[in-house]
Formats: sequence, structure tokens, C-alpha cells
Amino acid sequence: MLLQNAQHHSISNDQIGAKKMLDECIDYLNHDILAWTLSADNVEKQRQFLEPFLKD
Amino acid sequence: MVIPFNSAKVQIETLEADIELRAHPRLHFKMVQNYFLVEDRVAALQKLQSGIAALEVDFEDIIMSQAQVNQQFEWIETYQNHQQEHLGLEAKEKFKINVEMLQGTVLFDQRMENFQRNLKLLLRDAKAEDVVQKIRDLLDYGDSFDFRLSVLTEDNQAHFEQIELDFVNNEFDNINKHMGEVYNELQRSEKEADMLYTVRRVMHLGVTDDIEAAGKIINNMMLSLDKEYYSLNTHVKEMKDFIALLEKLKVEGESHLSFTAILSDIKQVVLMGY
Repeated sequence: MLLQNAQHHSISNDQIGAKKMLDECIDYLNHDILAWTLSADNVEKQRQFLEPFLKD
Repeated sequence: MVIPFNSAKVQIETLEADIELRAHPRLHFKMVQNYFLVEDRVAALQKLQSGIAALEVDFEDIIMSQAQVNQQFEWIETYQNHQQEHLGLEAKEKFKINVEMLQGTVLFDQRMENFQRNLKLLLRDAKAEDVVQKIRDLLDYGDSFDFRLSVLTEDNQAHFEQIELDFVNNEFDNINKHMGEVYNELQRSEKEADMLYTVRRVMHLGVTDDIEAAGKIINNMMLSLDKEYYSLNTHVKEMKDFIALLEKLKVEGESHLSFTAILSDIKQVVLMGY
């Protein structure tokens, strides 16, 4: 949706508005990256917790 | 520290003697019963005393075997600790030699099979204390999971309230954003619950002594975590690539024609990957 809005601004020759929409999109994706990275850290911690139990 | 071959041989002989000694007291007491039945109290008393002496020897021997096993554990723990600290090359090498030595001695003689079998049994016995500690750790971990899940549930509740507010105020972009957050939080809750379930299942199997099944469950969970870790990192990489494309669009999409052309390329990439 944000990309469509950006395209709409671009077609209307509103490059500033288009860039603003792209920045919002990038912020949104960065937020997702943070969430996925935290999840990956959590998975790694869970793995580290379980690992010693497999040493038998 | 490596077990010298002679030392391993002594261990085997000790353990074999241990097996015989375990049988002896039972024979003694069986004979004590018989003497009592024929009312030969003097002979019964003598057999009782020798039976107790045999038990004491047996007990000392078990303690010795236990000490050997504990030493094995110390080596293993040293290896594990050093491995965790990334300083373990030396410890790892020693452990490897130790294992190879044991394997070598097992191959050397049929009697060694008994040694290995008894050692495994003793290892299992010796682990009792260790297992208790692990179960305690699991319980603590389970409690912390419960706490984290309750926090996540509260967070989700707050997100839903925000979504309702956004809906009333016609803030559709915010609704989209908050829905994404809720989705991520719910996924995390699901994974936490999944892990909690695994931990509790392993605990249950540990208590009922079904160690093999517990091991399988832990193994499956490890494989699942590995897969998830790979998948999450792949997502992160794809998103970073996507952001790089959007940055390119910001710089190169000055006219709406170039903007639309680059956007079209991005959509193709997104359809194929993200």
C-alpha cells in the first residue's frame, strides 16, 4: 500500500511525497528486520539452552 | 587426562569382581535363611556376619567405581565448558583421545564389552544428581516462559486496543502497522508456547525415566530451531535486499517513468522472493 501511494505521488510529480512514502516503507521494513532479528536471537538462545541436554 | 590401558584393565577386573560381590551377599543371606529354617543359629550368625562384610566390600567398590565415573564427568564438563568459551582445543583433544581410548579398549577384548555396559549403567546412576539439577533448570525455564508469555499476551492486548482506536479514527495505515506487530507478537507467543510444551514434555519423560524419548524430542526441537533460525535469517537478508532496492528507487526514481520502471522491477523481485 505504501509503495502504491509512493507511485501515486510520483505520477503526480510529487517527488518529495514519493520519497516520504518510500522512507515510511523502509522504516516499516526496518521494524520487521528488528522483529525477525530478535526472534532469531531468541531461537539461538533456546538452542543454546537445549544443546547441553543432547550431550549424553 | 587419558585413561591408561592398564588402568582400564584394572577397572574392568574391579567391575567384574563387583558383579560377583553383588551376587555373594544374596547367596549369604539365602544360606542364612536356610540355617534359620534348620534352626542352626550359630551357622546362621556366621553367614550373616560374612554377608555384611561382603556388602561392605561391595559398597566400597561401588564408591570407587562411582569416583571413576565422576572423573569421567569432570573431563566431559571441562570439555563442554572450554568448548563454550571457545578455548577448548586442548580439552577437546583430550576428550577425543579419552573416547578413542575407551573405544579401543572395548574392541580389544570381549570382556571390555562388560566394562562398557557397566560403565554405561554407572554413568546413568551417576547422572542422577545432574539430572535433578537439569530438571530444576527446566522448571526455572518453564516459569520464565510462563512469565514471558503473560507479558506477550499483555502486549498483544495493548496492540488490539490501539487497533480499535485507529479504526475509530480512520487511521488505516496505523491499523496495518499495528496488525503487523500483533502478527509478529502472536508468532513469538506461539513459538514460546511450543518451546514450553517441549520442555514440559521432556521433563515428564525425564521423571518417568524415558530418557530415549526425551532425547528424541530434544533432537526434533533442535532441528526445528535450526530450520527456524535459517528461515528468520533468510527473511532478514531478503528484507535488507528489498530496502536496498527502495533506496535505489529513492535515488534513481526522479521522474515518474523511471520510478514506475524501477518499481516494476522491485515488484518482480518481491514476487519471486519476499
